[in-house]
Formats: sequence, C-alpha cells, structure tokens
Amino acid sequence: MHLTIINGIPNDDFKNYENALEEVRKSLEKEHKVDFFTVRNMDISYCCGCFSCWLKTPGLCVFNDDMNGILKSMAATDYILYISPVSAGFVTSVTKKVMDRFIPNALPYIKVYDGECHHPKRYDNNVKLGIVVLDEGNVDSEAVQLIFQSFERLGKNMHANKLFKAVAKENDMEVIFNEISNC
Amino acid sequence: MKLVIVNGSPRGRKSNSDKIIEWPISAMKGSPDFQCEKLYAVDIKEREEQMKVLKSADYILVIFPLYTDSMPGITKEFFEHMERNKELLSGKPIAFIIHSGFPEAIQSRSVERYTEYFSKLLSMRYMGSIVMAGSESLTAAPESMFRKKIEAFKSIGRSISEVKEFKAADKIIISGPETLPKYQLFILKFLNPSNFYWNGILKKNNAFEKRLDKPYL
Repeated sequence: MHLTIINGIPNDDFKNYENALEEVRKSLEKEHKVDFFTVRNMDISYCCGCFSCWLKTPGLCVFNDDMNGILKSMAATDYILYISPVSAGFVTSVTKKVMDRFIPNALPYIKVYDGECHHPKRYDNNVKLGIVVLDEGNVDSEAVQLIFQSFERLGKNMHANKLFKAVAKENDMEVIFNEISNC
Repeated sequence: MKLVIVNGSPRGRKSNSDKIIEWPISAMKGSPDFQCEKLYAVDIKEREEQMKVLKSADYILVIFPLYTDSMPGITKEFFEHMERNKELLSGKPIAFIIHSGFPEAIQSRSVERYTEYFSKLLSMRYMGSIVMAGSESLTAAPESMFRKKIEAFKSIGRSISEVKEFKAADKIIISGPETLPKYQLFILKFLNPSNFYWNGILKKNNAFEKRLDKPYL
C-alpha cells in the first residue's frame, strides 16, 4: 500500500511522540511505500483562496513550495493519515494548512453525492483517510469529538472509502501500525 | 460599544467576508458610542498588536469562510494566539459568522459546534454563530440578490449593539436550506449553474482545455 502520513506536530515539545512515530514509520516501510511529511520543517504557505489551482493552472497551486511533494503523494496514494496534537480545541494550524492546500487535487465543479453537494476528485485513486489525535494526558474528549466530526465531513468531501479515527498516547503509537496492517 | 471584527479569510481585504461583515455593521453605525475596528488573520506578523486590540473590545465578531470543512488554517493560527492570550479575553462576548460556497448549511455545522466549544475554552461569553451557505456567488452576483439575507444581517447587527441573542428567524434566512430538497438535487444532476460559472472563468483564463488535467501523474 502507498501511505501519505502528515505529521502536524507544531514544535519540538513532542520528542517522545516523534521517536515513537519514527519506530512506526520504520516498521511500516518494511511492507509499504511510506511518504512521511513533518510539516513544521517544510516551507508551506497557507492557502490564499485565489482559486488559481482550479481556474488558471488546473491542478497546480500558485505557490511553488514544499506542498508540491505532498500533493504528488496524495494524487497516487491509498491512504492519507493526519497526525496532530490538540491546540485551541482542534488540529494544529500546521495540520490545517496542509488540509486546506489539498484543493488543487479536487475539481471546482459541484456534484451530488448521497444527497449533498461535493467537489469531484481530480485523480482516480481511492483513498482511505485517517486522523490520529495525540493525547498528552490532558486532551478533552469534547475537542476530540469535534475533530472527529470535522474529519467525517472531510472524508465525504475527499470521497474517502474509509475513515479511521483514533486518540493515541506516546506509548500506543502502534495503533497506526495495526490500522495499516488491517487494511 | 467597541466592536472588534476578526476577518479570518485568506483573501483578507478582498474577501467575501469583508463584504458580508459590512451588512451587520451598517445597522450598528447609528448607535451612540459605536466604534469598530477590523483585524485580518492574513496580517500574520501583527498578532501581538492584534491581541491588544482584542483586549480593548466590548464585543468580538469573527467571520471566516469554510475551508475543507472547518476554519481556514490562517484563522486557526489566529485562534491559537487567542488561546495563548485567554486571560485578556475572559468574559468578553464573542460571536461567529461562518460562510461557505456550498448551497447547504449542513456543511458548516461541524465547525459551528467548534466555535461554541472554542468560546467556552477561552472562558468567553458565547453569543452564537451564524451559518451562511452559498456565499461564493457574492464574487459575481449583484448584492441585490442577497436582499433578504442583508436585512437579516442588519437585524443581527442591531441585536449585537444591544448585546442580545440573535433571532432564530434571521439565522434561518441567512443559513439557507440545511440540505437541498430532492427536486433541487435532481435538477443539479443535469443542470448545475455553478459548473457553467466555473467553465466561463476557465474559458476566460484560456484554461478550459486543461480543466481536468492531472499534473502530478
């Protein structure tokens, strides 16, 4: 399987999580093609809402930055997995900017799917979508539910054929490995 | 009363958010002692100054467009600064306007629930959120097409100057349908005006032939 993993940890305060993630990544790489992106170390602008990627240069963002590599991976992947701690009751802005910059991989048009309007996909790959919320021990279950609800919406808009949602402490990163192994 | 507007749109001063926010403000301008200051989330280097302005507010009104099912990343970054400065904001009234290009309100309900949670997290006084569907057409359509919504926004503006809750009737007029009725979904399957709109712009930009391109394959 081809995996696209987005690490939305915003700073260096999560060393134990990143070490655990590194172990998971190594295990996954034995069987899968893994594209692992640590967003905070990448040069990625916030989406500016210009719609150039839909209306001027279809499929290409006006920003020529490190997001290109993520979009290329997402265009061919089987699984997009976001990993984020909670900040201000939601996924981090570092995570969210990658979610926003996904839109070149969708088409501007609106189609009806299951009674709701959504954008069709630009690429033909069928993706699974996952969100792992990192729990530093004080994560509020209400915030987690709100994040999960948002990803339920995102799953519909991305036409994901599966949605995986989990909360993980630093010593249970194997939830990621188990989820991928079970797919 | 000092109203502080937080415009979370990535399009900043050229955004639909900037047009929409003028509707409630227009109804408040006559009230005594009314002052209004606008902050833009795109002014990312001015966060420190912006937090000071928020501290001076009697009422904070946040407006943002729906981006991939929640607030835009740049708005979220602004919220993170608010969280770090929560002691300045505790007890202040806050309300939200969430608009989206989709024709149904249901798309914005998840982030609407978040706005209430976020207000609580910051110990602020949550005054309500207003969801508005179908906002992208504001870029092309004349404002007269939004007459009823503009009136409802003005009524909401008056509620804000009196620091009262928003009327349910106004919220419904602004939000549009929760989901589209079956006959409308049926029509959309065959004839979708927004697709003509996008194709028109693509043609104008000499990009119509490339509209389905897959540059990353």
